[in-house]
Amino acid sequence: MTTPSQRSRKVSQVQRVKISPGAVVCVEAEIRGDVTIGARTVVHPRACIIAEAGPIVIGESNLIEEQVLIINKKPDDASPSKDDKPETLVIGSNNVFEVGCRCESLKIGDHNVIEAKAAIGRDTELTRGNVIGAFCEITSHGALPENTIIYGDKYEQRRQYEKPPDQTLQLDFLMKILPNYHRLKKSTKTDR
Amino acid sequence: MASLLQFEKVLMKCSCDIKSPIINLYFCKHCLKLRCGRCVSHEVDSYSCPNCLENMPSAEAKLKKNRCANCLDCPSCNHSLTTRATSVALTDSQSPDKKMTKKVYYLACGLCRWTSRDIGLGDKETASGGWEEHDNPHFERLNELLEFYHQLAIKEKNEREQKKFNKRRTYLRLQEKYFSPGGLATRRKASFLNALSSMAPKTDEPEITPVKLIEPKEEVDPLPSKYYTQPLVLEKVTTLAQRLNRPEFASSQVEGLYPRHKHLVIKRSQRCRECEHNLSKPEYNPSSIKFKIQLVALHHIPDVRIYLVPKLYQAKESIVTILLSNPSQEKMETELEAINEPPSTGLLTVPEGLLVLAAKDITAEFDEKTADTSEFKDNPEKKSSETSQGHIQFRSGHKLGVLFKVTPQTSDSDVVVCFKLKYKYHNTSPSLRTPVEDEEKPDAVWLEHEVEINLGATSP
Amino acid sequence: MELNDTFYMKAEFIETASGNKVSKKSVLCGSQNIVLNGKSIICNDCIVRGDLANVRIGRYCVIGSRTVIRPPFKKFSKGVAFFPLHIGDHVFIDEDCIINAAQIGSYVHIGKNCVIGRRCVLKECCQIADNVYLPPETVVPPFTVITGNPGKPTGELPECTQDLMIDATKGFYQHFVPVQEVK
Repeated sequence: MTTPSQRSRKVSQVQRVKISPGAVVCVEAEIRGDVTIGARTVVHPRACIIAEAGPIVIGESNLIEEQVLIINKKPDDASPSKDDKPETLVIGSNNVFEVGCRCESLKIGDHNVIEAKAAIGRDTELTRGNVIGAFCEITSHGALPENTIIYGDKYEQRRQYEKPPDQTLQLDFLMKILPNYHRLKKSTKTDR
Repeated sequence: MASLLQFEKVLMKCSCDIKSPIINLYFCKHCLKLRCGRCVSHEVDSYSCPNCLENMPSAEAKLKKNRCANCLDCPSCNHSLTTRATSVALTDSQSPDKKMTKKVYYLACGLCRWTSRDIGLGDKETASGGWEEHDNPHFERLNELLEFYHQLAIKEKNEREQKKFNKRRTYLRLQEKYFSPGGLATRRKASFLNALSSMAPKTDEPEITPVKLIEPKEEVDPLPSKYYTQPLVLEKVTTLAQRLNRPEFASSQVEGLYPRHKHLVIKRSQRCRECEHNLSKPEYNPSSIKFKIQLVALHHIPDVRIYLVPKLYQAKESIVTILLSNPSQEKMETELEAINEPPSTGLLTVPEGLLVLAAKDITAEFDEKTADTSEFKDNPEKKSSETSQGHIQFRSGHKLGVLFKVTPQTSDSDVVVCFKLKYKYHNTSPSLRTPVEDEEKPDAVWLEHEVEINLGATSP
Repeated sequence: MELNDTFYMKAEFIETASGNKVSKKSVLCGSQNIVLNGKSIICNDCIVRGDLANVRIGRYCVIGSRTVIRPPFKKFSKGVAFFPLHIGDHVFIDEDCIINAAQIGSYVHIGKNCVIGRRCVLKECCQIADNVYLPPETVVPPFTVITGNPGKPTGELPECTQDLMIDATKGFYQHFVPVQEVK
């Protein structure tokens, strides 16, 4: 039996998820905490977006596939005395998070692709046009230069000349067919 | 499938005394012996491209240096390149107002995202082919040298043959002098042959084009100053692996990396070395998994599998259940005999006497009723009385579970037991040599193989 | 070695008329587009995206836990669509895999924690080892063993692979035994 205070806390948590009109977020996706999702973003079922140690802001036209974990986690070595204000995890626009990847990075720019089963640590920053290949775990400090591609089990790197192609066609298609099979989370009217 | 069913635990000795799991063995029906990959001769059956799975006749493969004509490899990661299409808007030169979209194609890699635009190759208008070949800059020099050596080789060959001819010539002369039976006609023929052979050495001395020799020199060009002045942009430098993929160019800059044609793969056929019969011959189609001839051991020899292994303790007798299965469609009689010498590290007692395996019934999976095992008279009463010997645990279709008594004699290494598997092999295909009216039943032969089973480590 | 019995809670699995055993904990989106041809097993926490395109799985297939089966995306000249995904008979897919392939032939064994890229084509009788990443649009010829990241052919399978896979998958299905919950 939930007490009235518990119930109100649950309700307030749910209300902190702001979904812009035009975004397609399936009901089976797990979204917890203060999360803002921009327009034309598609979140597949079984994706997890958890704002534990601070809010998460996701931009427009992003593609978040299933089993993806985007988490704003408290760093393990943070001492409780140094309790500064919670940091926001910012994700830009036109990013693709493929199946099973894990993202803890605080700042992700635009047009990046994180492939299947990749992982990015909290201190890494993705700028623009970066591609993190499958199974790659990047936990280095600092920002990756633009248009860098990391691939293979030896983490080979190379520079591209242009950003990876946009997935707008796929996004459009998904926005048309996903509502036929899934219930969507209602978008909240915000003036964002 | 070794990972799921762990076939490497049961090894059989083939005719070359090497032990391998049964899945890697062939059975020669004519020699009635087990053959492994080392006692057969491998022959190339057909060539095909691993990407487009297109067959290539061996002559064409040799011409193209075993490379596919259509498929290309990414120069930076060696993965296959795919052709992608984009549409480009052009303005028609005649009517500048009309805008047309044309489809152009470029090559792209799925792994490292290299594209043909990275090296400046323009987009092509045809979907397949049309990619210019980057010729070897040393092509002419290499050809010149090859020609020279080719001519030298011909010259040496002719000199060798001339010696042979000389010997033959003298023999012929002697023959025509003393032994010519036909008279004038043979003498004329002989003299004609002599004239030919005398002409031969004269015409076979072509002009060997001399090749330009490279002069050795002591002075080496100094290192260009750009290595001292310009900063190094690591992203533009190729890795060693990328460079050595094309040793004729060995480009140090990323812009010079050209894609290479994909290397072909082969399909092999295996032939027994003793009787020269084919043991395995695949089908011609590269995508097909069927075989024209497939004489694998799994289809002819009873399969031995570990069914149940309890915890093994040093010097303590345990009972291990082994499954024997009959692959043939006739009843098979088997006999087991333990081998208690090294490399066996455990004392083994096997069930004695004849063990009969039922025929394999391929309709059994569709038929609901259980197989009739009453004819085998596995008397359950025997189980309780004969506890000193191993006996039959259960019978299911064409499979038979038997109990082995194992006493591990080692505590460090794995417990390994060896035994001889004797069985009656029915040669199902009729032999062409024996006359048909004499033999109605195919002859059955007792065959014997050594089997080694690894039961794992002992528990402390 | 013969396979041992794998036990599952009877209440957790749905058994269909054609002998398919599907875990209730797995997510089958768009189930009307998913065809299981019979005697296949889908373990717990799997995700099969039938909502994107048709998914057809053959007989005696085994899909391990937490595997994602997802049809790949294709840009046609006249637009875009998700490509139907066909999986052949007697295919054993181990746990934690991500399958984005366009086609998987019969008698294929895919190891644990693999990622099969978009529009890959796996022909019959091939084997993908554990922890392999197959880059997009790879074609795996028959009887090849693929290892590594990126996946490269490293070995060959014996000629009797077809019989071995039939044996293994049938054995797995027969040994997949329900156990009643003790109340």
